[in-house]
Amino acid sequence: MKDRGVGNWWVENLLRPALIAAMMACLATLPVRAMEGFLGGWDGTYFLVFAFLASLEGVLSERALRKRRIAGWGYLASRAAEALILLLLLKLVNYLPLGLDRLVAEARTWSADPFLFINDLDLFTGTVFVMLWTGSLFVGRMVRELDVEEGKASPPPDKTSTEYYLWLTQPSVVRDRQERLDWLGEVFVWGGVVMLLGAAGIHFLISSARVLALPTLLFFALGVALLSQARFSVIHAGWRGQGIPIQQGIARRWLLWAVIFLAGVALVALLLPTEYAMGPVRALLGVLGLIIRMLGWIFLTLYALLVMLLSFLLPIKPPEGLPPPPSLPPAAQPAPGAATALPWLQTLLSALFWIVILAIVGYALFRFVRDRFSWSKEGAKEGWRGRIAAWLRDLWQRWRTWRREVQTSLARRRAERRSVRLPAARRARFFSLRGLPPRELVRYFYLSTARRAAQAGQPRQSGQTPYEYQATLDGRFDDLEPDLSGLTEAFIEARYSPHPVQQEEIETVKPLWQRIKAALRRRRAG
Amino acid sequence: MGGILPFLVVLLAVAFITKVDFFFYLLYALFGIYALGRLWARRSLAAVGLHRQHDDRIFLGETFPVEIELCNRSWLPVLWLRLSDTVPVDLSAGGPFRRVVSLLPRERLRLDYTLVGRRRGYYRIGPLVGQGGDLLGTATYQTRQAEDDFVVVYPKIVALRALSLPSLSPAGNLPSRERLFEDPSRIRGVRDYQPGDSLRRMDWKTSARKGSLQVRRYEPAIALETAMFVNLDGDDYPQVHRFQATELGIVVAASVAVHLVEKRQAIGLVTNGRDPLAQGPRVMPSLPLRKGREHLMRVLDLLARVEVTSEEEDASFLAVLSRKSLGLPWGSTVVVVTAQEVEGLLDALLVLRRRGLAVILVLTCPHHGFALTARRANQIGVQTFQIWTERDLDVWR
Repeated sequence: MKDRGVGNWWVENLLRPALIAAMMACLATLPVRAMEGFLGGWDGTYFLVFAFLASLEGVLSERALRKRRIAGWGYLASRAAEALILLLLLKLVNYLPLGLDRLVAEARTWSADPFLFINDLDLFTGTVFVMLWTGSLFVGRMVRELDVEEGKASPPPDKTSTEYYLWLTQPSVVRDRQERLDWLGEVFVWGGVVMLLGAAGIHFLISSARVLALPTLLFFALGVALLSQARFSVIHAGWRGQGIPIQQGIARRWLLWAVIFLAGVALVALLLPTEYAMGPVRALLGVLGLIIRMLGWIFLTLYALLVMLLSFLLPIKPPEGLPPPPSLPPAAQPAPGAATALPWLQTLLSALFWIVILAIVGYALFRFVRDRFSWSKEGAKEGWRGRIAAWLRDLWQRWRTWRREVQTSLARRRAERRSVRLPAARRARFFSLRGLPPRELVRYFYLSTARRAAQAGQPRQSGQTPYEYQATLDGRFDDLEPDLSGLTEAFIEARYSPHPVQQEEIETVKPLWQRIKAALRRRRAG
Repeated sequence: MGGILPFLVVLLAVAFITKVDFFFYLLYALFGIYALGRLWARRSLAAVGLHRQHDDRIFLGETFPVEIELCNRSWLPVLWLRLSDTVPVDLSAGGPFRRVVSLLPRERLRLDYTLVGRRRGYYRIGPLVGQGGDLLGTATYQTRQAEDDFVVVYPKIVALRALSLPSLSPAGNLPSRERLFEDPSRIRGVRDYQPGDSLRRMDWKTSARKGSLQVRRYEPAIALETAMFVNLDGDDYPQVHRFQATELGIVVAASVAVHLVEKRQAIGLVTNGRDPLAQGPRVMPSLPLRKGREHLMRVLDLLARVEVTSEEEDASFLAVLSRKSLGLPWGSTVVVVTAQEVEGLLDALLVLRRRGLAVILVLTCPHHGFALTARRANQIGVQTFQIWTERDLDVWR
């Protein structure tokens, strides 16, 4: 039952680095295919293989560097040396399609003119390679940090030891990793956006986007697999951090189900239609046009009636000599839809296509609205009517909150303006509490009490919470304890709770404040 | 993965603009992974059945296993399921119960953990919560056991042997050192005749055999019915001793109840504590005078559940004592368990005595005036015991 060990060794040390390297190679396909299109005749496949292997090496060597605790300048120097070696290797690899004779011939010219050592192809492949390699190092490091190092996640057995204290006070394992996981997700999405836009650009500028079909699909498949594994690392770290016994083999099951699920979804996606007819769209546009024409007809009828009425009231003689109005050509009859002529299979596939697209758009809209307007669960239980009612209630509550905030803000501004105009003594004398909303009023009661208590020799220390301050005041003014307790509770509720403060609460709090105020005044006078 | 939906919209636009197949495939696949992944997690988790099994009544110090049965009723596997059960601290035998498991389609799994009854009481176990999520972490879902379970931990029971309760009833049938009345059906022996002995007590056969007049000696009688009044009004106990003294009172009542039921006596229980199962806030928990083990279990249940009343509640012990003792039959014994003598206590006990009830006063809260209290109580015929620790129960062992 208990599985306190880290997940599968080969998943962490081979599968994940391979996924990262393959994703980087897929990303490299974009510039390589673009360059192939421009240069004509250059085949960059060897470069993709080299990029994959070099990225894999970079991710794997990260583990070795961490194990040897090489960091800071040492890390940079090591990586710079590694990059230099890899660039030299790339220079050699660039000669693979050209042949060894070409290398020997060009090598003879390098001694005469060292600038010939780097040509345009080297510059291009070198730049692309450095970007990819650096990216793979970053991603690899992030993924590596998602894993749990042995002895760090689980609490040390001796609860009196220094290690236990350090473990207890370290930042949350899950929160820390969740941020990295989110970051990884963002990288994946933005990488996907780059792939998409690049593919679209290549499609329009150079050749068909189909040349990028495999790397693009591969990029997303690998990315989802990597994210799935990263997600497992994060929650696994959380479980271990909380000392929860974990069922044996859960990592293996996770991987297995992920592969089955991804493969199943991909298979279904491949079976869905991608060709579509415009028949439904045309029908939709036709209905819209009909509605617009009907609205226009209603508007014109009303307009004509109005003009007729006005012409009776204000008869205007038309000027003579004007040419007759030109007659409009008869409106063109819409051609019968092409979709009606489609064979039944094509129609079925097209309908399926539109259903899937509408489902995607509908779901996206649903999520958008639900995430932003937070339909309540009570509403969800009541069906669509309840949801709409809950949504309207939510809107109404938002409106009321907004209005209250605006009123508060305006009241504060008015008070500030008044405070600028009036001297301090007069301001205190003419300050009207009726203008304040309930929440502000409770705050005022508390703050004025704190001010009076300070004048009576018991100021609030910086860093004292309301409860701590109340305890201090209780010790000094023991006869005021119930009133101070009630006022503090009301203040905390008004200050920190999200729900609105009712007028009835003011009626309860105000007498407390008045009693405290009177008592503090007597103390000062006495 | 919060940006996946905007990304899908971009992908949809690109697919429509370029009209390239693989963009559509990509769109379908990503949407499927996103939406179906969530659906999978939600559906599979909703189909997980959680059941907890355990004994619902245990004795103090007893360890008992809790078995949790998981059942995946669907054909979808459960990717991961984090289980956590909420257990009261007084029952916990270690840390809280938490496990992470994964379930295959239609798989059943049994997990267990152990609890120990450390303190008498009525405890709620649960909720048992299961949490699961999808592959990419876009959503987590929860399932929970529909009903919470409850466990009753009985109070500590001390075996008593020498407990002798006085009775005014001549029909008692337990031996007692207090020779108030004797039971003519239980002959203890014979002795020489003394002037004034009733002729009804003469044992003629033995007299003839020994050649001198002999009279029978009978076993003295104790109560047939004993009502226990346990004071659990927190105000009557000093703050320092409140917990220990009230718990000791419960132990005394439970031990006396067990002893008397073993002797086939009828017992009743009245307390002014708070029963968590009572329907109203001011319902005083009480059990009528009954015999038998079934009734004993009810008494122990109530003693396990009952809690000290808070200061706000109106639970005057003397009022409860006066009101609830009205229905007791003449000659019954009343065992009053309270903290210490308070104003009006002895007056109330005197009223009970005058009603024909035998009264025993047990004080569980240490204080210096016990000797005086005992003396005053003795003057009105009330036997008084100080039980300040469990060791003090030795007087009845």
